Amino acid sequence: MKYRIPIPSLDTHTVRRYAGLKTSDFPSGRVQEAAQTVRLLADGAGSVRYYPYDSMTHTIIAESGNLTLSSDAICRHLAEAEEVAVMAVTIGSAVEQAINTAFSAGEYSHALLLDAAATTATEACADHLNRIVTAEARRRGLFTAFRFSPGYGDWDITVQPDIVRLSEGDSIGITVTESSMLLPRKSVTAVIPLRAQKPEALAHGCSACTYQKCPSRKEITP
Amino acid sequence: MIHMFDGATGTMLQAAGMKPGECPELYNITHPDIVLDIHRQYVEAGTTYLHTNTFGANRQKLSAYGLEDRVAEINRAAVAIAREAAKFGKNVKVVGDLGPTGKFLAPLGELSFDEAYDIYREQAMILEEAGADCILIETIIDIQEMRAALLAVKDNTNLFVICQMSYSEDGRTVTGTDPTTAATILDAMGADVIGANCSCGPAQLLPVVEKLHAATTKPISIQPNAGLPRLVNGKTVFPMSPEEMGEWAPRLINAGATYLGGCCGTTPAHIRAMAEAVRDMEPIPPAKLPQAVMLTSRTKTVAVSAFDAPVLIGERINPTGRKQMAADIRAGSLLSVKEEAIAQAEAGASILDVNMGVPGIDQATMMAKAISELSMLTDLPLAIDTGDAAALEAGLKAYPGRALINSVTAEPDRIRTFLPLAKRFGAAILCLPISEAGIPKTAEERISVIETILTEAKEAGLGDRDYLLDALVMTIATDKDAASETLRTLRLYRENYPHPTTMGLSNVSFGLPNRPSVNANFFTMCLAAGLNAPIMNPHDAKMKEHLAASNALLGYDPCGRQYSLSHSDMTAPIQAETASTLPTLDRLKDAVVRGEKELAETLVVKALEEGTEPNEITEKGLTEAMNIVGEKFGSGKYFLPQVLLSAETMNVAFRTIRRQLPSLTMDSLGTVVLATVKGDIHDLGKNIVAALLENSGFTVIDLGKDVDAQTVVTAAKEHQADLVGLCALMTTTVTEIDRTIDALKEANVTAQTIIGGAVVTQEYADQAGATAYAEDGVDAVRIAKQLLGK
Repeated sequence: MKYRIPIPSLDTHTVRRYAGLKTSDFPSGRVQEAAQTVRLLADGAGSVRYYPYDSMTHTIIAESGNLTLSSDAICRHLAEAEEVAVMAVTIGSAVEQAINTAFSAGEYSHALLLDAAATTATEACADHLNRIVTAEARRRGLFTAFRFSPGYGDWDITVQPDIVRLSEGDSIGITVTESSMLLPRKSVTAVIPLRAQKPEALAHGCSACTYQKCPSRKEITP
Repeated sequence: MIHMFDGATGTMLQAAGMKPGECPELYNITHPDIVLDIHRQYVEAGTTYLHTNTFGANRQKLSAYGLEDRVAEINRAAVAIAREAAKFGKNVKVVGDLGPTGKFLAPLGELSFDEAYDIYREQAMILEEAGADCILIETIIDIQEMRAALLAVKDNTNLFVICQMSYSEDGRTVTGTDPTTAATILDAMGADVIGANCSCGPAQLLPVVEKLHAATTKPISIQPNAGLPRLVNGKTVFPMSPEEMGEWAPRLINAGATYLGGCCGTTPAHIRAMAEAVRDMEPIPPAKLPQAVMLTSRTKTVAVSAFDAPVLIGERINPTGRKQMAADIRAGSLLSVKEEAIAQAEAGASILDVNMGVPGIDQATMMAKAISELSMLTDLPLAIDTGDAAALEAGLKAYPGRALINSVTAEPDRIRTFLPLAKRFGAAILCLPISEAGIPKTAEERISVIETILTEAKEAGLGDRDYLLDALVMTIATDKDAASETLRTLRLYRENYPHPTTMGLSNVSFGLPNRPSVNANFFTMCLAAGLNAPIMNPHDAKMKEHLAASNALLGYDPCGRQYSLSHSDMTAPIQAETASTLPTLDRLKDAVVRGEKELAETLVVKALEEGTEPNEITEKGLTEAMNIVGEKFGSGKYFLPQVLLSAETMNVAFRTIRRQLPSLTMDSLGTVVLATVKGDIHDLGKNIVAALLENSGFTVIDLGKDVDAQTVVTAAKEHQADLVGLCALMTTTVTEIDRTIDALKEANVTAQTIIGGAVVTQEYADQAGATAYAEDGVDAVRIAKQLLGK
């Protein structure tokens, strides 16, 4: 199933965080301007498909070809899944052109903020599609745990071609480069486990990430 | 009295032997006895409104079983079985059941409004012809699909129609519509009963019933699941017992429901328990709705009221007199339209007026496109501003909300074409007192024309909460009484009608000097005379200032609290330059550190005029500033956007020097070839490094992203590079750094190498044979200088 995803607003706090801006001492108008430009240029879209999952063999069962997972992290995350939702979202490539144009024109901070706003928009699209998946799962008596993307933990991004195939990301214009990167660049793929039991609140997001030097890392309160 | 629907059909069919993968609706043909038996059980349990087994019997859904050609046969059989089952009770109504198509409608999905309309029209007409007493449209999660279905039923049958959306645990449909918004849209479009079913149990749907009851005077229907489902041993189980459902039933009635039933997981036993629990109950009276015009987008409702604070209608999406927007629209582009939508929302508009009036274009197509795309971009309700009935219809159809029509006059043509569209699509109307005879001059004449419009509108089926009255604004330069007649019209509206008032103001000052002053003063007078929804430019600071003050004066902003808050927000510009007594170079240094580009440009010019050498400006004004910025970054006081803003300022300063002294050649600290390595397409970090190096005095040859080793070697040789900077973001591409360094060494390139990127570390740099590792852009500049002894 593919959807277009509305982006009626962008959280400027998140834009600031993705830009690594951990201070209020920066003109808020510049952050807003970038957020508005991204809303103007972003064309949010998502696609998702549901598959049975065999947790014994760590295999997503699909007519287009099964995918057996080998990464510990994703296998652990899917351990109790009955099914998985494989999803992809993108905001298209118009924003990327705007970022490049800004850099070339010497508007470096605007370019950085555009990039951060584009990331925020992409994540917002992923959240939106994630909510649809959760509602669909709940309707059928299943619970979802958080979405897990190639590149998290030890899950190698070389799996991207399979994930794009399973999510039918090509239907929304996503392709994968030879080095396993998504095009348009502001795209995300992920797998969401659908399980019978409500998952425990697991550490995820920034607090579970090992990339300590990430400038966008949320301040973790102990 | 309370009316009882039945409960689940699918689970009952499964219990009777239906296998997974079988089409439940085909049972009407293949196993009519089983369907009849299920119906009978429900009727005997107390059902008075019996669903036909046609939830998935639309062309789209049946096509999954290859049964799309049997829509009529399956639906007719379903009605016949239900009719038969109705005989087991007294006064049992047969409810023709319409479920979702399973597709999202445009713009969220690909099914067009017209296709959805046709699918529902086909099924609804068959159900009516076969003898259904009413229609239930249920389990819909996209308001646009519900609008298409409701319209198809209303246009093509004479049946009473019940509309039920499905809300998730967060109280909205998965496409974001809340119960208040859904009730507002569906009530206005003529739904006879409005409700909810599926997705949740009674506990989660109780607040939905309350919200629906507060938003419409139509009866409310509710059909919860038997609690929230769980998957047990591979099967979806609904945990709530008939007794528990029975306990919830009176609470649902007291929250506002008149029609009650069950959805997934409910059985005849549940229906019996619920029916018995509410047997002697009566519905609570309808809520008294506020006297206000409710407009909605897909996800938000805005009230315009004569008795509340004014709301702004943004007027800027209008190509009249705006060359760029007109050219865009003519070319089929909505770029400037979208830009204006975002900007007006940001500036405080509550409703956006949309006008596509460019001569010579297909206005209907463009209006539909604009309305549809704006519904994806903003959650503000829209006003469709056109005199073209085809464009109005196209816009109303495309809008997944309740729009305002701008405008309906007393001209016979408008009355004839616009009012039925308003009724059909459930839109509110802006009434403009213009008649065939032209524009009435006096307030009394305007009231008389408005009276004509309101009478006609009532005749067309519109109601008291559907009108905004326009007071008409003419130019005082040609008629000294123009403004005072408008003010008198506003006052007469207020005395005679409960409807909110509106108008565009700026015409009043046409032909006069200093128009903003005239407009703002007139605005204040109009607000005092009862203007509720000014159509204006929300970017106009003076008008907004007057609005804020008027709100405080007229009591809409108690004690001027908001007014005070808005003034406390007006903080002084960040660290305004106060130290103008300092030497120019020190001021320049500060300007770069603070990232003030315009000031930096001025100060560079000033320094040159004072006779300062360019090298001194660079060293003492600019380089020192960047050193300070670097230190602040290193100590965690500055963050990347601030560093880049300073680099931008530095860039402006350099360019200013070059512009002033075109023949000047500046010393370079060295040449750096930069690249994101082959296979990697992430160049943000590399671009940042390039910007910082360039503005620290290096000559940068930026090769871009996805650059193979040989290209780097060639460029390093050609430009006699002192340094080569390489980066990679991903584990899949980082090894390309090693390959590039090897290639440089093989080709005897003497340049030193600096590498970086998210997955690169000092250890990695060591094993790859790089000269150095830089953690970030600021670090890269420091290392570059260090390596070259600068």
